[in-house]
This record gives sequence, C-alpha cells and structure tokens, in this order.
Amino acid sequence: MDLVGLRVKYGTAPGEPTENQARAWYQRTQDLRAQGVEAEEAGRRAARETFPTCGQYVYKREADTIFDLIASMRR
Amino acid sequence: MDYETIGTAVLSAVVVVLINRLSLSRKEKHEISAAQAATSRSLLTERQKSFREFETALRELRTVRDTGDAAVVEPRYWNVRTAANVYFDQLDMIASFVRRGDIDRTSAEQDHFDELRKAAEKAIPAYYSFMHDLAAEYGFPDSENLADGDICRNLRLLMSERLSYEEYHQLKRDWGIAEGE
Repeated sequence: MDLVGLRVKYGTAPGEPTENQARAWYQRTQDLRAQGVEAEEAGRRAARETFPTCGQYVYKREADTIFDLIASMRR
Repeated sequence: MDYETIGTAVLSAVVVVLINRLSLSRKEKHEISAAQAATSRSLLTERQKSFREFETALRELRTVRDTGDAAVVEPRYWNVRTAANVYFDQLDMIASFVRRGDIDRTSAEQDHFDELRKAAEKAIPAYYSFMHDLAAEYGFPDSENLADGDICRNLRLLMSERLSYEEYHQLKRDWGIAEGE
C-alpha cells in the first residue's frame, strides 16, 4: 500500500499512516463502500477515523512545488 | 486460398474475439479492473519517486543559481535536465496508459489526473521557459524546445481530449505550439 500517497492525500503527519493504520483504513473504506458510500467519500471518512493526524498537514502537490521552485529562481 | 475464404476466416476470428470480450465473466471483469487499479498505483509510486528526485535536483540548482559561476552551475543544470526528463517521461507514459484505457477512469482520476493537468498547464511551460533562459544566461547548450510538439506528446493529447477548447488552446499558446498542430 502506498503510505506516502495516503499521507499526501489525507494530510497526516510524517510517519503516519503506519502500515497497520493503512490496513485499517483500507478495511474501513471497503466496509463503508459495502454500505453504499461513494468511493472518495468512504476513503475520506475512513481516514478521519483511522489516522490521528488526518488533515493537520497540507502538502503542496508536485506541479505546484515545481512551479514555485522555478518561480523562486527567476530574476 | 482465395480472398473470400480468407475474408470469411478473418471475419469469423473477429466475431469470436468480440463474443469472448462481451461475455467476460464477472470474475474476469473483476480481475481486469483489479489489475488496472494495481497498474495505476504502481505508476503512482514511480511518479512520486521520480518527482522527489526532480525536486532535489531543482533545490540543488537553486543554491548556486545566482553565483554567476558557470563551472559550478553547469553540472546542476544537467542534473535538473536529466531528472526533469525522467519525471516528464513518467507523466507522458501515464497519459498514454490513460488514453489507451490501460488504467480505468476512476483510478486515473483519483491517482493522476490533477497532477497531469497542473503539470501540463503550469509546471511544464514554466520549466522549459526557465531552463531556456538559464542556458542563455550561462551559455549552456539547450536543444530542447517545447514548441516543437514532440515533448510530452501523449500528455498534451490527453489534455486536448479532456480540457475545454479554450483551455487547450491556452495550453498550446503557453507551450509555444503553433496553430494547426
């Protein structure tokens, strides 16, 4: 499972989610979807329930980071 | 063998393939979509890895950018070009997978589309423009020209399929690509 991807997407602290948290998240997402919750919403709800630092960090996305780094180098 | 016999044989083969495709069992369809989702995730891991290397190279260039010393800047300039090519090739490959349907729509939207779009609209034109100016400033070789239309072609074509008419034409203007290409 892609821990870095989960961290960036759900804004958790570095080091979170752990493998165990990610597994619990995945299971919870599947349970919610089985109840009829839409995929993205299920993922968000599961993240709030299983990741203690969910939403506390904002990670700049890739293209934004590249753009800003380049902008900072322009005269 | 005459043409009519060959034609019938080919037509029969096509029909058989189509019938097989249409009558995929639920299990087979599930396996295909699981495989597509797995493809999307492994491409995501690769993309994130090549992005981190590109980001590192850019930061290292930034620390010497204003030194005015070509001997110091040049190796970092080349590191950035290499890392950028790896990352942009990765994006282009993902775009080609999406266009071909090797990644299902949901995984593509969830894992990749935002980054592909922002790269195409913002990061890529900014990068090529900056590197062109830097090369001119320090006298480095610079043969890469976004306006030729060959760089990140799959990514650009994916955008032509997904963006509005106006948005895509703005992209072409930002890339320096002439009309009619």
